[in-house]
Parts: sequence; structure tokens; C-alpha cells
Amino acid sequence: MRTSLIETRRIEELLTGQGDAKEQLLFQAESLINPDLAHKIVHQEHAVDTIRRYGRELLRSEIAEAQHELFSQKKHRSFQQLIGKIFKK
Amino acid sequence: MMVGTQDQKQVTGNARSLWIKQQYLDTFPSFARFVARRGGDLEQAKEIFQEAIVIYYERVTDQQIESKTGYLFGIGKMLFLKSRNDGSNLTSIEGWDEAEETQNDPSKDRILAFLKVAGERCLQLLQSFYYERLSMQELAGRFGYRSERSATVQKYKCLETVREEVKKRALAYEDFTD
Repeated sequence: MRTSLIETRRIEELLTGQGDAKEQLLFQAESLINPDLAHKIVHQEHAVDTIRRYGRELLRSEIAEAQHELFSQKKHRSFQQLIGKIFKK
Repeated sequence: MMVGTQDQKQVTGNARSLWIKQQYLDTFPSFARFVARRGGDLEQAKEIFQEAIVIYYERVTDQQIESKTGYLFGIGKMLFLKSRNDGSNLTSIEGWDEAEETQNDPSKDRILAFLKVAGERCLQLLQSFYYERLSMQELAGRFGYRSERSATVQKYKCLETVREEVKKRALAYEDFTD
């Protein structure tokens, strides 16, 4: 694994609290005297957060699609009738 | 009953849409009755149930829940009560923080516009790991890598690309949530 990827892995371990505790402490100390590394840590955290938001939007799309199918396809007619009765009362 | 490995695999695998439909078939009728009895309509029930599934899914993939019996119904119930603002004490309800947070999520289009620089395959790989929480072994299998190590290297390469884009655009967290 190339050096930059090893650094990316170390940042991930730092952000997730995984890996060797002593090594993490050293890495954290390094970030205090290395602004470039400190910025990378912040940017990587934002990157992962954004990826998770993207994943959540994908899930929302799948849920909406599944719901549409359940309420529109003939093969789910018994389900539609059941729900229809509930809201007719 | 513990949520076992099989459940976890089912939720994180390609059968996700089947899993979603099963949640509707199993739980939506009872949730709909709950909503209808309190004067809610079908559209409200559908909208809230979608959000409840998101929270439930994240709990399952994060392995935070011990029992799934009634859990989804419980989340839906709390979200409905909150939406009706009927005086229920919601401060201690598990899952509400996530639900509130999701309401402030940026649009999918904005996220996509930012992430597209990484490429579709990278995006799929990254979200499979960071959102679906697939193991490296599962990731290697889904994306056709010969080994976990190859998948790991690719994952970090993709993550670097996204991180560099964050840096390039000097994208502050607030830019996504304004």
C-alpha cells in the first residue's frame, strides 16, 4: 500500500477509534504540529459523512420505489385492499 | 431475539429491496391502523413509515438493536406522535435524533454533484462500506475483487479522491446543511 493510502488508513483508525492506542496517540500528536495532516483529518471526516448521506439518499430512493410497487402493482392487490379498508373506517 | 448474521447479510446484500418490501408487508398494516385510529391519513402513514425504515435499517446495519420484534412499529409510532405533537415525551426515544437529523439532510442532487468526481463505482464501493457497513470480505465479493486486501486498497483510493475534493472545494460541513 502506498504511503498516502497508509496515512488515509491511519486517519480512519483515528476517527473510528480502531487500531493500536499508542500509535493513535502518536498520530494525534503529529497532527498537532502538522497542519496539513490536521486538515486531512477534518476533510476525511467530512468525506465519510458525505458518503453516508449519499448512502441514506440511495436507501430512501429504494424505499420509495418499493412503496410505489406495493401500492400500484396488481400482484400486491391483497395488501392494497387491506390498507384501503383501514383508512375507510 | 438477537438480530443474527443472516439478518445482517440480508439487509446489507443485494436483496435490500426485498427486505424493504417485507417490512411493509409485516409491519405497515399494524402501523396504518395505529395512524388511522388517531385520525391520520394514508399519505401521512406512508411518509412516516419511509423515515422509520431508514432509522430501523441504520440500527440493524450498525448492529445496535437486540430485538427486531416491534422495533420498526415503535419507531414509526414515535415519529407519528412527534409529527402530531400530541404531548408525548420524545426526548428519550431511541432513533429520534437520527430522524431529526435526516430532515436536515441536503438533497440527493447536491450530494451527487459533489461526489460524482469519484466515479459511480467508487461511490457504490464507499457507500457499501460506510453506509451499508459491509465487511471487507463482502465488499470484495460484491465488487469482484480477488482479495480483501485489493478491496481495501481500492476503498482507500476512492476515499482519498473524495477527501481531496472536499479539500479542493474547501467544503465546510455547513455547506451541506444550510
